[in-house]
Amino acid sequence: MSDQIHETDRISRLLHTLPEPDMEISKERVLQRLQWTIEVRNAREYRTPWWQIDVHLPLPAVVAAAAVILVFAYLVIGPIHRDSVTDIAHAPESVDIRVHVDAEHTTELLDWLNSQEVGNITIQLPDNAEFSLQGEPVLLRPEQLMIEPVFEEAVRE
Amino acid sequence: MARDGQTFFTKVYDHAFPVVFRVVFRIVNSAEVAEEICHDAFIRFHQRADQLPDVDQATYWLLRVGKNLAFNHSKRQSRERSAYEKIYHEPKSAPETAERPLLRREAAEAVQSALNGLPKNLREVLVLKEYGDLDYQEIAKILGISVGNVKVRAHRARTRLAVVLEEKGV
Repeated sequence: MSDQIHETDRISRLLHTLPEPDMEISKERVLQRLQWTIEVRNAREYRTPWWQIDVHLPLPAVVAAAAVILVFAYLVIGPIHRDSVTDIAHAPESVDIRVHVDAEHTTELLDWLNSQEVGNITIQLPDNAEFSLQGEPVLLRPEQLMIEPVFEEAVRE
Repeated sequence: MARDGQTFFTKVYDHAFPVVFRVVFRIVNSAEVAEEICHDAFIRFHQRADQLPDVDQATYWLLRVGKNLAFNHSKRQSRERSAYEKIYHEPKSAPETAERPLLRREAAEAVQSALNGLPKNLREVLVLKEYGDLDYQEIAKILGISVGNVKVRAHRARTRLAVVLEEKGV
């Protein structure tokens, strides 16, 4: 038993003969690195998200940017707007304009067209239109049919 | 941290660093690597200091983490060394460190080499006992084994060490 204790002590003494580095230097060095790492990590954790960051811009820069955006918007949107509304009045004669009118308002439409200084007008009637004869039949001579309105052709077809 | 986190961290650091560093250093045999491992262990501790109630528990936890990191490092290093030897057919010498000139002393080298040659389960008990200033009960807590098991392992470690040292004439 005493031999065993003696051997244990001997091994322990031998293990403690091994050289050791300077503990204080290492302790200080590791502490400095730890402080740095923790600071960096904290800064990363509490970093403000980009949508909450305050951005300070000089007023002239903001005005210039707004002007550029407005000009750009006008260049892009302007032509579209003109094409859709304003330019209809100035459309060339070849433009095909379709207007849907209820049957009960056709007289008003024809009156309005009559008042306009326009050339040829083609009226396309619905495909499923059915016409019934009204009034007394009239006999027409060929010389009376020299000018034949276009819409009568459409009716015949 | 619920309590004053900075104060608790400083208290644990002052108490635990010497023990953890000594244990880790004995496993990796390099002050630089030991510093690296201690840094990593304390960073992990900083992240979960809330869960450790007092300085003692924190120290045991740090010893466990430091010891595991050190053994992982040693294992990785020995794998790299054997790969190097396989490729170049020559033994790769350990990196030159500030401690090397002192370690060149024959007896110290023999003891160190005998310690390194112990199986991990015996070596960790002996290192914690000799360099961690811990009793058997504390070692049992750190390793998660019974006190009896710690005593058996410590006895086997010393016996093996004595045999190897005797063979080397130390």
